[in-house]
Amino acid sequence: MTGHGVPLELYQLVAALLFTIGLVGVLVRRSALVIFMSIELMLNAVNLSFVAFSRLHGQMDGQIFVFFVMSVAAAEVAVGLAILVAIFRNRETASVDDVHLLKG
Amino acid sequence: MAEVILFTAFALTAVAFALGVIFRRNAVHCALHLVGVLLSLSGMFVLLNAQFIAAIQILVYAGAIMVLFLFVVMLLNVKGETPLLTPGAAKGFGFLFALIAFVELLWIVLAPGGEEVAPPPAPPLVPGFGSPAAIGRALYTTWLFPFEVTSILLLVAVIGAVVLAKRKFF
Amino acid sequence: MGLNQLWLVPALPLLGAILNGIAAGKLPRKVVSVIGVGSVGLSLLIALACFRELLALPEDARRVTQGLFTWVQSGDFQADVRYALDPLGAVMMLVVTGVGFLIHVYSTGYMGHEKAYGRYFSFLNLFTFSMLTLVLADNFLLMFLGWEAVGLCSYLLIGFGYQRPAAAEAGKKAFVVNRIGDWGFLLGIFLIFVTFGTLDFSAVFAQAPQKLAVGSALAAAIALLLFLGAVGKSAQIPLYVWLPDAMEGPTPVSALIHAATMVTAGVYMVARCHVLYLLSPVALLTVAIVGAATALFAATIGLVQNDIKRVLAYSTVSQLGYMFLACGVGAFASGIFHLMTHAFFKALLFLGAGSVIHALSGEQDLWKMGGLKPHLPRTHATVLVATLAIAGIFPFAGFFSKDEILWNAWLHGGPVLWGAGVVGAFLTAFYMFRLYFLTFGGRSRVTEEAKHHLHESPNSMTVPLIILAVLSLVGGLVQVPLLSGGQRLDAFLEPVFADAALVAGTGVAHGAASVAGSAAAHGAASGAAHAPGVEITLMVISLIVALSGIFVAHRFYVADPDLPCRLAERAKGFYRLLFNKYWIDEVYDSRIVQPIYRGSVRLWERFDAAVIDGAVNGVGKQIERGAALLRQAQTGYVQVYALILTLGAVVVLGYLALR
Repeated sequence: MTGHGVPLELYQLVAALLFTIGLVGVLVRRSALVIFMSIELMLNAVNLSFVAFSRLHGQMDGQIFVFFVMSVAAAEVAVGLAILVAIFRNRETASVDDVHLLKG
Repeated sequence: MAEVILFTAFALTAVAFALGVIFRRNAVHCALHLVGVLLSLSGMFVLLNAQFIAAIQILVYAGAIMVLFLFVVMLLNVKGETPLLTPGAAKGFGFLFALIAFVELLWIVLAPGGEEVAPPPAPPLVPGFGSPAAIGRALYTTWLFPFEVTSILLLVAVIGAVVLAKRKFF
Repeated sequence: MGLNQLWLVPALPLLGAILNGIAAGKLPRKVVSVIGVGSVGLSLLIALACFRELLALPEDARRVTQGLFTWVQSGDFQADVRYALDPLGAVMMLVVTGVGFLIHVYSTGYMGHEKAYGRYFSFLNLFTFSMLTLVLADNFLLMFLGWEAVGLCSYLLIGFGYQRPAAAEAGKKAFVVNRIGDWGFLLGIFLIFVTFGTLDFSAVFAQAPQKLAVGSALAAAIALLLFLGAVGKSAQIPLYVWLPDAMEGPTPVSALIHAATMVTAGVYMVARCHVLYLLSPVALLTVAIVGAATALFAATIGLVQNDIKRVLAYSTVSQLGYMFLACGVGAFASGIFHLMTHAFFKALLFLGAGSVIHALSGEQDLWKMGGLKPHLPRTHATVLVATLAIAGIFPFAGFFSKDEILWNAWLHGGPVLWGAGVVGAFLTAFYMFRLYFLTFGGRSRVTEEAKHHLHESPNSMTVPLIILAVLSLVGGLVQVPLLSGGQRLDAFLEPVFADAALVAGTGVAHGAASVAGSAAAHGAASGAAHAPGVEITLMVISLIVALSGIFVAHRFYVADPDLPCRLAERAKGFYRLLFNKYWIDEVYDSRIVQPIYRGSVRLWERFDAAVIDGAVNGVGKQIERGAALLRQAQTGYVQVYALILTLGAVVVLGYLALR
């Protein structure tokens, strides 16, 4: 119990649902941009989970974690979008199935 | 009771916007739906006594990061995706794995505690829980070192972005 | 400055070597010279200060050590980098820094046109450091470090002109032959450690009389293994073959390394370990016989060589034999005395030869010299002094030291060893004056082209010659025989060799140790106990022998220049035997080198190439094949990777859910 009526399990349920939706987005969408957004969605689902647990235990460490997750997300978006722009400039595409450089 | 109503509203909007993110064709629409999800979550954060996190969720995430997204979407000006989803078996496997993962998560979240002892009753919240002052104190004492490391991470990201944008790769 | 700065004596040349080595030819020649010569010069000054302080100490306290740091520590074993100065080490230190400094100065003139000037001085400084480490080390391991390092420097400097195949070959030969000796030395060190549990000189030598019985097999094994090292480094039979070839190096290097200092390391080591040798009469006798045999054998080869430096090389081998003869009859102080005087006159001879070669634009054949006396006045005068010294003419340094060795050989070794020494002395006088007459006397046989450039060497080369000539002249006066109080070197070295008396005391009971016993008695009661009449008689004999050697040489090469040819015609077989150096090199090559070579080739083809390479390459090939298979899984599509990642997550989550 979170102490004010809404059980913790419900927050976890919402977090799980959002995470799964994000996962589907990453796995099935072609657009690299949307895949990035889906990743943000997954990160936010985890953030929700962190904050809920933080409230449950009455400790702020969970919120601090959210803070760090946001910093990492910002860094990731900056670099990821830069890569995306670079790829698009050279190949005129933003679809992940048009690019297969990630192999030895 | 008000909390329950608010929670239900935020949860429903969040899930609805989330589905919009992954199924809208236009990338701009996707981004705007993501903003919707972020705002709903921010509301839930407030319900969970995380006022400061809620504030920076709106300022940093919904504000700065999403602006960056929109900026890139409009810069690239990708024509409507056809087809929307990955072709072939990858798509089917994607849905399948995600479904299994969801079932497993549900199982973990909702499974009865089993032999485990019921969680202890939540301790009374300290005054100022989740306030900027409390977060700041924790951040600059216990978490000072990770905090400083984060600054290096951001610096590296900035340099990386600049280098990637200036040179010709791929 | 003094004993507290003892470590600077080896450290300064090391610094010089590092500076000139790192700069790698980027420095102007002047700076290289200042670093190279200056470091050794400073080292010499500190060495002199240390020597003065050592003299100020009471006699039995003249052993000062200075620990720098612990080098190796493993279980019970500990070896420190620790330098020690005692009278024996002090004599060696002064010879190394003194002669070394003069040769450094000489090199600035001789090597003036050399391209790799910085490299040369870097190696020469490194050698000085290594040699000082060798003579100042306080334990066997540090001594071995110096021992190996001087070997390395010798290799580097013999092969200095590595573009010439002969020089590269000679360097290789020196290195490999020395390894045989080093192998023995190393085994000896192992045996010492197993026996005594320590490698510190003072501890080993203090325990030796208790732990080793006189004449025991263990004592003999240790002493003989160490002597094998000395045989390699000091070019004695049967490992002398590398030294004549080492003459491919620059002449100052021959003077410093292959005459004055490095090759005497074996003599120093035997003297340093005299306690161990005195405990084994067999080893002592071996040292004496090898020394006498080498002295005679090398002298005969020297008679007929035509390359000026090779004659000197065989002469060096022969003189080293004398030093070992002295050690072998227990007269260690005499060996060190001859080592010192030999360093002066042999360095002088080599530098003089270098001056001649320099003047003749690189000519080394004695038969293309002659009549150089008026052209090279300073070189001529100094070489004459050195030749008289090595021939053993009174009152030059060589007379005193060689005579003392012969006297001790007579006293403790018997007439046979003495006889070998006297014959060797005659041959020495002969071949050295042959060299002198062929170079400076008689008609000029210099080629027209060389005659054109004929000139006396610059001051940087002749001044060291003059200083060494003075030392060759007066160097013997530190040890005047018969005069009471004249044996100053003996008295100075006495604290080092005093424990010989102790060992001998335990050994007198055994008849076998009588050689050792009388030797030690000699060290303790120098002079007074001799019968002066016999000593004077022997002295006169050796002087007459030396003079007759000179006379014969004069007759052969000045009075009647055709005589040698006629003699060579008549004793053709013997002449060819000598001229071809007894075919020792060829015998070694066919009996030892070639079989090893063929065996190695077989091993390489049958075992190395087939088994080892096969195994290694086989493993590599299998991995390559497996990798090619696995690479199929890498599509390069990021979403496939994400899918596989998810699969992993699903599995982990499933495990968590069903646990």
